[in-house]
Amino acid sequence: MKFDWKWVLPVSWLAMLICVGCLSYLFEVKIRPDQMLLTPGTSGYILGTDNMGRPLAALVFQSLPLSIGIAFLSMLISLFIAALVGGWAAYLGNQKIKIKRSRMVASIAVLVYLLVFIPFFASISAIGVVFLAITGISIWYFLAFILGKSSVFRSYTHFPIDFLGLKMTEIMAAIPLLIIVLAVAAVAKNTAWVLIIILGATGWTRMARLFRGEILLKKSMPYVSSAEQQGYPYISVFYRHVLPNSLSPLVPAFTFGLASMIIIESSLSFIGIGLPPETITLGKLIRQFYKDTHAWWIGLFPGLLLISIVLSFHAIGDYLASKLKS
Amino acid sequence: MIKSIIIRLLAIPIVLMAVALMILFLQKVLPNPVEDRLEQISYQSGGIDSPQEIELMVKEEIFRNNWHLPIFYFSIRPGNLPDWYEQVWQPQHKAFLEKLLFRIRNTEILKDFYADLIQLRQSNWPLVERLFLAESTEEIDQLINQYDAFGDVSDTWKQAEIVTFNAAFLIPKFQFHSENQFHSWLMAIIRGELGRSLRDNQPVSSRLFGSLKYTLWLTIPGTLLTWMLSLALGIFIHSRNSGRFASGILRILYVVDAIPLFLIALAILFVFAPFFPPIYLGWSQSSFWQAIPYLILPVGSMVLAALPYTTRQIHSALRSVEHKEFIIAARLKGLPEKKIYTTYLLPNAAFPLITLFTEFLVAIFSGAVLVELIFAIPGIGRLLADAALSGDIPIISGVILLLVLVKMSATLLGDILYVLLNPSVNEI
Repeated sequence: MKFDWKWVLPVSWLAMLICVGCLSYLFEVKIRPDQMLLTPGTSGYILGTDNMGRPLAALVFQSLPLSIGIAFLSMLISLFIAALVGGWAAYLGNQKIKIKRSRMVASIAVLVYLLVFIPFFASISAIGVVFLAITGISIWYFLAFILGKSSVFRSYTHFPIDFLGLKMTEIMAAIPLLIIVLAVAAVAKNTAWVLIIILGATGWTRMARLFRGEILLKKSMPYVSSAEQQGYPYISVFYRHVLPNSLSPLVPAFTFGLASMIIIESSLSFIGIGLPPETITLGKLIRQFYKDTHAWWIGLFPGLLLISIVLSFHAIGDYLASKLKS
Repeated sequence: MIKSIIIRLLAIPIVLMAVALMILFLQKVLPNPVEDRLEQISYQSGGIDSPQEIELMVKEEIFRNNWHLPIFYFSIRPGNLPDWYEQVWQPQHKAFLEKLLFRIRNTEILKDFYADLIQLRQSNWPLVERLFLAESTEEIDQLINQYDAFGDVSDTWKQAEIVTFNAAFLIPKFQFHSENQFHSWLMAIIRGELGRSLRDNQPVSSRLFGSLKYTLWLTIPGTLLTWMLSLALGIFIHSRNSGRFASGILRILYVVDAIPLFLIALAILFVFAPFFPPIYLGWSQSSFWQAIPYLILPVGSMVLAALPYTTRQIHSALRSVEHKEFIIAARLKGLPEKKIYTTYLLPNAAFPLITLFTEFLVAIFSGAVLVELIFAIPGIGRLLADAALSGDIPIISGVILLLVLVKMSATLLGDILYVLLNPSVNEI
């Protein structure tokens, strides 16, 4: 079997890094004030030590699974949102969902009600949620019932779900990802899970656009319309025919997305936002170097490793994109 | 066309309002900054001030930011919420009273109870404050029975009829508020005020405009240089006489593209620090011309980070028109290469580049965050990073509004350029 080094090399490099990273957790990292800032090679430390006397090699490798894991999980969330906003909404379009006008008005009113009052009731926690749910549902039924009496609101109208999805994508794409994440992470809690959710909830616009373009192409295929005309529900047509056939352009986009998520996560750690202070990441190690530029090894090794990871993901993405094109 | 430009210009303030509203909503939903801020005040005083003085400072802070007012023009609240509840401004007391609302049947007694507690607090502050922290009615019972100092308060408390759940709590009460946070915020926005920074109490707009100057010193030369360099590089790679250099340049650009901006800036800082003055402290006193030596490294790192992407885009834009019939016809006619580029290739490759340019204008601001942080330039990006580190929400929302404004004007500019370059496009 013939190997194509364009993908074997980056994939094996990444796999090796992840394996070494996971294995390095067997090694217990101790703070040793007597061995601060040792240069690489002295007294058995291959990559030297950091400003708390911890071996740099262990720190660097322990931070790898975290970085890649955060990027991967947040991209999965992004993929899910992109599939909803760019995929499902684009497939349904502006014509397929029909809704009674009275119900649409009631839904909008309840949405506005919830948006305005969630802040007030956030302080009464559980009771507040029950209160909001009960009042919200009763307002919905009341409005739908009252409005349903008039003939104007009894007729059906199209729900422009595709238009809403498109506008949402445009608004999210307007502000650079780093700045949105910075603004949201500043007021949220500093944990890895919150960071994953923030990254996932903001980084989906690129994939949603790709998804939308592909879905619009596949939607007009004869097999989709024949499945629809046989009376299958939209959701099963979407999951059995449209979705599997339009996933392919997302594969390289997912890989490039992983690279950009890693860059954003390390930039955030470099600024000092996002992860709790005791977690070690490549960005935080590089920040140590920025504060004390004499310790060149603390900047060099994590930096080179970060570049190699991003480069590997780019190479895999390029390879996949070229395979898909041919 | 002029009509549609006017419509677009009118849409800008509306979108800005919508974004500002979204930010206000986020502020109210996310973990409450009010309590963090108040905690910070009591930290800062470091236990030197008496609790009464700290409370006075807290009260000043709350009233300055209008946190004591209701959020919107009207509200639907628990039916048994008393009218005097509006006058309570201490967040802790509000939470305490809200907890009692669904455990006490005769809520009128709460007024006397609360008044007694406030009176008692003058003489015995810590004890009453401890009571306000109580989680449940059982805990209040226990505390009141435990300490004799409560005196009158315990008599009032015994009149309260405690139930497991007061259903009156669930009956909604509709209320109108003429003074509310939204109203005061809206009026401030219309007057052009964005609020005050939580850290130094300066108006957000003055902080923004103060630091915008330095960001523009950084971004305008950066943008011009990036585009000039990447146009030159893109045309060079595309031209026939580039030969073997082209693939080499493309490979270098490919690697540089994978380096995060902050690493590029750090590397430049590390390598060139002996030759160029890297960090400058006199930003506020100097003019642009005086600051130029200190701008070389930051602008250089921004250009280097942005170069690969723009060059590749220009290269692919040129390649996409390369095989069009009119180019081949021009080549066959034997026109000089320079004329082919200036009159046929570049104008036709310009359309995707306009979109790229409008995206670039906003993206360079996010690059400015890291570069300004590393080179200690007091610009917008540094302001945003510092605000994010200390949870200074008014500043963060001001920066985001500014970015949305930049983005919308850039898109409008791009669309106008589109029409000017191609007269067959009538609508923008």
